[in-house]
Amino acid sequence: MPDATLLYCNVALIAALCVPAFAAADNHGRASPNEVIPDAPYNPRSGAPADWPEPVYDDALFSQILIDRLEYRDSAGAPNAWLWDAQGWIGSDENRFWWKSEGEGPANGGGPESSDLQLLYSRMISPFWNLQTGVRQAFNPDPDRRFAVVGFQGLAPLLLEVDTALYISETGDVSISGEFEYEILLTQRLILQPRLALTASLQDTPENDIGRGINSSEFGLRLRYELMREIGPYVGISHARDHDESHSSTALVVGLRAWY
Amino acid sequence: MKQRSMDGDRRRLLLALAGTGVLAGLEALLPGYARGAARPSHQAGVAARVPGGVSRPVSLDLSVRRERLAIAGGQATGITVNRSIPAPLIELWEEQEARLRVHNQLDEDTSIHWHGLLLPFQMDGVPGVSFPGIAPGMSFEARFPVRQSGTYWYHSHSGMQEQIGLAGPLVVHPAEPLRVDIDRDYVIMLSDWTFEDPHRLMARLKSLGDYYNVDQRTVGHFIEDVQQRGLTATLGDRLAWNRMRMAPTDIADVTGATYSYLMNGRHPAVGWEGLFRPGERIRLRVINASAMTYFNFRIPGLAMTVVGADGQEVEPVETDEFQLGVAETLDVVVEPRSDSAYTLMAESMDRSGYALGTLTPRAGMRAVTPALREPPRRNMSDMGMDHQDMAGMSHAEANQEAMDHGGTTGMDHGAGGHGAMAPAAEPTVTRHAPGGHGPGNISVAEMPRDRLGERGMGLESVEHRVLTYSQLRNVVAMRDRRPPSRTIELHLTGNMERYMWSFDGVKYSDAEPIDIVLGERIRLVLVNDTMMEHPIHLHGMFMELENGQGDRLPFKHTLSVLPASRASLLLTADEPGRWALHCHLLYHMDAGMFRVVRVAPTEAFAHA
Repeated sequence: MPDATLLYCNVALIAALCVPAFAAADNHGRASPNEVIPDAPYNPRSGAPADWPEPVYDDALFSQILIDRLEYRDSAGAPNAWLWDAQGWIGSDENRFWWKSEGEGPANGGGPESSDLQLLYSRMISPFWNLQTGVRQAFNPDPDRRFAVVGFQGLAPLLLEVDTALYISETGDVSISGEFEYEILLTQRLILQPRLALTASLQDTPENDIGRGINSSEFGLRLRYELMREIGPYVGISHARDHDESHSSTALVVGLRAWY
Repeated sequence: MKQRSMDGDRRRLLLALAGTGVLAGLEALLPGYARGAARPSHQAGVAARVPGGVSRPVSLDLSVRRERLAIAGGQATGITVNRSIPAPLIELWEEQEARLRVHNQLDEDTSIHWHGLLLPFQMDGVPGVSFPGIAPGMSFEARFPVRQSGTYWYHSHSGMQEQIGLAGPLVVHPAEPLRVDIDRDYVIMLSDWTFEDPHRLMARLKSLGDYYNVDQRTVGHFIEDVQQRGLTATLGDRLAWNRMRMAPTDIADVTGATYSYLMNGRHPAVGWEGLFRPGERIRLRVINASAMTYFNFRIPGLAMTVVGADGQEVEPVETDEFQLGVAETLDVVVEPRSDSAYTLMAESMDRSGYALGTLTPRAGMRAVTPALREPPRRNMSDMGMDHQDMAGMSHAEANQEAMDHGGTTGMDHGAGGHGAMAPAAEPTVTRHAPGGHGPGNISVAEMPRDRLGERGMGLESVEHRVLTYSQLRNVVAMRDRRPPSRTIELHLTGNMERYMWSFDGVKYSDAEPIDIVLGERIRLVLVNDTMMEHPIHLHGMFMELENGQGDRLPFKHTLSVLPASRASLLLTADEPGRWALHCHLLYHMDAGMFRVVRVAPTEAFAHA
């Protein structure tokens, strides 16, 4: 009896040992079905062991720095001036940190006369639109002003580039701004760009000499030649109006658009 | 356009160099099969051929290195396999064992996926899905019994390595001779090469989706159109496209503005050359191993008989031109009878360039290279609407508006949509279910159509025969006749403005695996909501394309789904494993148009 038990045990053992081999043969080059779901913790996206790398890194961070306008303005009716208008972002497709900066100064030396910087969180809310919220600091000669910002930036139907924002100052004054750009391709590299920029206030703020209604407007027409997509020097004309002081000027502009 | 003429300059320079023999040096790094017969060496005539021979197990060492080399008329750093780009031809034999050892001599992880091969999933070579990848200095042996025959290829599945060289042809010889009788066997591997860093390329696309489109509509085109079609029609057309914020010139994301198109690793200025004797039957195993480029392939003056698709035999069908999606392969047989040279013309689909070769009875002989044809244009049917009626347009607009506010998760959408089980293939027009797949997707194909019988982009009106999917007919009858137990519907979605690509508006990092029970027969329905083609590749299993060929549905490992179309495939999930399912446009995959399909027994899922 002990011998027989031993024999059966051996047979069972041998059979058990053989099973994997048979299974492998029966699989005809297929994997074992038991190996699909790992025993260890696994990555919920791939089903593979959690300590393996991802097959694709589709949430990688990207960034862009865009100097939309870096220009010299030769004006009739106003001192010659230079200005910059730049922005940039870093982040994923949906969530980005976005900054914007504008400023200008007299051409005959000295620092910028006015400048401002916005620091924004940008959230993609639809295929073509970002909702942006954050803060804006205006570095005027005196005094500096701070604003809360909420804005929409994106591509409107008809391929109109739109950047609009609403600002609330520390004292509760509300103002808005809008920039609209359109690109007309004369050739693959020669691009004519009409641009309209407006600012407006919702109330009078005498301490800043700003009246209710449209405060400033600028209409420009810039002809850019893209040496490559990233680098495009341009020439153009720009008509700017200060509605509060009822003063307007027209400038010939020369500048550079560049991004990376 | 400018870019194209620049490329022309480079081509002329290359031709001049070729005349002086300077280019002879470029040959050194090409593998045997890619070396031209024009090269004065003992290999003349046999180079580029698939040697074949007696059936045997194969044991190979493949060393992956990053090195500087001459390619596409310039100097670049690429990723070589056994010191060559393209990677060398691998030949395997059905019913024999393959042992392919990959040695990583890079300073980063690498991997090799054997595209189209049936094997245990652990050997499939997708880092993060089937194995952890191959670390620098390490090796990996893919060991498996070969269960099939045909034309395949292999490539890296790590990062952008495929774009910079790590891809090569793979031919499996059948255990039983095929019914096709041939005298000569050539591999024709098509690829796209860029001298730019592919990561920079991706970053540019993220900033500016149409960065590489140097064929956009200008004021000049507007004036031409006004002259031809009148002001009202032209304005209407511009208005329609601009309202959708899309471009009819959006054919390829990455174009000849940066790409050189190569045939067997050779720039068209040099061209690949294969010898023949008049009257011979020649098999050309055409492989689209490019990262992003669809090719239209033709041999002016020579009819081609298609005998294989994605490595699998099909009933012979004669044609004059075919469009090959990225990662697809097609075997054709040609029989040049006259003692003259024939040009192998592989035009990129957007016609911003071409890869070139010659079949010739004598080394150095050339046929005329046809001029590039006019670049094609997308039309309203690529948008999933009826032809250019404005009613359809405004409807689409309305839908798009709805989408701007909407946002559904794709899987719900798929289930709630038109995923109803049908007893037989139902390739009819179906209305798109509500919902727009969220901000990662721009448009929905309102009326996705069955386009399997349609010619590819730009070939609609050419005056010769053009292969369509509906012509492919399997040589063997369908084995699994069970009706599918369920339908898995996946929508191909994207946002060209943001360069986002996904399934059902959800990219890989926000998704979960698609689970299929081992042995289950399912129907996979692919609905392309975008206005561009996507080559959708399933690893590890062949799908049967429901193209109206009764019980002779052709096998596919990669299906090019036309814009605004709906394609239906049957699949018997008989290969346990974790398998990648993705768009084979490299930058789309990298942007998240990727899923894992798990095939396992019910009880395994229950415990998961």
